[in-house]
Amino acid sequence: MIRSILVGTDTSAAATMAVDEASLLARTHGAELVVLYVRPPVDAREVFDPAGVPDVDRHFEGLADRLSGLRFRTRRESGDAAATICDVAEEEGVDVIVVGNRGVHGRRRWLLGSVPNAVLQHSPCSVFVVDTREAQ
Amino acid sequence: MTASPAVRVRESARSWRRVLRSFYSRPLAYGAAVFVSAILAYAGGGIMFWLHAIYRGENGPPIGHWQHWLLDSTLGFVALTPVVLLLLPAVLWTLGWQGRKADGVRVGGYVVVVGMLFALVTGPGPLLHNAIAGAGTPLANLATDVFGPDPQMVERQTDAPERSAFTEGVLQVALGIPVYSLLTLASIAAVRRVVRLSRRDRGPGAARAPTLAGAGR
Repeated sequence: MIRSILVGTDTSAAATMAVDEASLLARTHGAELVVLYVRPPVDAREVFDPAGVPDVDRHFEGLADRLSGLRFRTRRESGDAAATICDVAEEEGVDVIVVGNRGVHGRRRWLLGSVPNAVLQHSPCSVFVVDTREAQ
Repeated sequence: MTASPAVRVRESARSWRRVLRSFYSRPLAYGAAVFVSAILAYAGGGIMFWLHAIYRGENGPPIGHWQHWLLDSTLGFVALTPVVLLLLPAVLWTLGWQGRKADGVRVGGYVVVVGMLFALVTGPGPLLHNAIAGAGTPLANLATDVFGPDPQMVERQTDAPERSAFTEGVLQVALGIPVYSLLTLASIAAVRRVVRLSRRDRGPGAARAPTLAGAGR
């Protein structure tokens, strides 16, 4: 029985595919959806490229339309993405975590590691990995 | 129960690693940090060269002003780039913007703190300069061989006054704080401009961070 689902987003198109998939799963099971945005500890864009910093408020407003008719909540945390997703999943007692299979790549992946891999290894519950290659 | 000092040190080291990894996870950060470092070393170095070599008449190698500036600034660039690479994310983390908008006050505070810390780091610069590239050192002799002696500088060197390294260091920091703060601000503004221009070249779709609009299914 799936009662609550946690999905992580960095506001990218790939993450939004994962949110869509999570919402489908939530609708099917009548589950509550928790959408989590994890802000990195520091973001160089804040200094050098403020226009490139995601507008999380706007993104969450957009989600409200997209997820209408669904029980959902949004959360914002700061820290390491994978570790925070697992911590929040544990704290919220969710049944499933939904993540995209393609988040960061290239140098960022080398530096930050793969979020879905880390979530898979440390998750306190089942993990649903969405194929988001289409959005890359 | 409080954590032991060893645990606290480990936690602190882990936090710093996370901060550095997070900041440098974007290619923009590398380029921008090296650019800031180059501006601080060469433009800031130019002003400091004027202060120490021309205004205060330090006892450097007897070479032309341009060559002397290039030598000192390049040494400064090599030695201080790692400092800049650490300072930029460290100050951002310490000030804790936490995703708030980078308005004028925050950017102003950021550049002043970076400029102040960078000036403090360069405080021992005059002392190190005399030890590494001062008149009579192997590096100064090599520079004189490579660039050739400047007759005016050779003459000036004979009656160069003795200066206290402490006084020169204090002057370095005192002038450095406003100079490095302004140069940090100018270099951040230049990077932002380049980023904006490159976005414009890539078209209007690239003007914002990706959001829901880009995720049509």
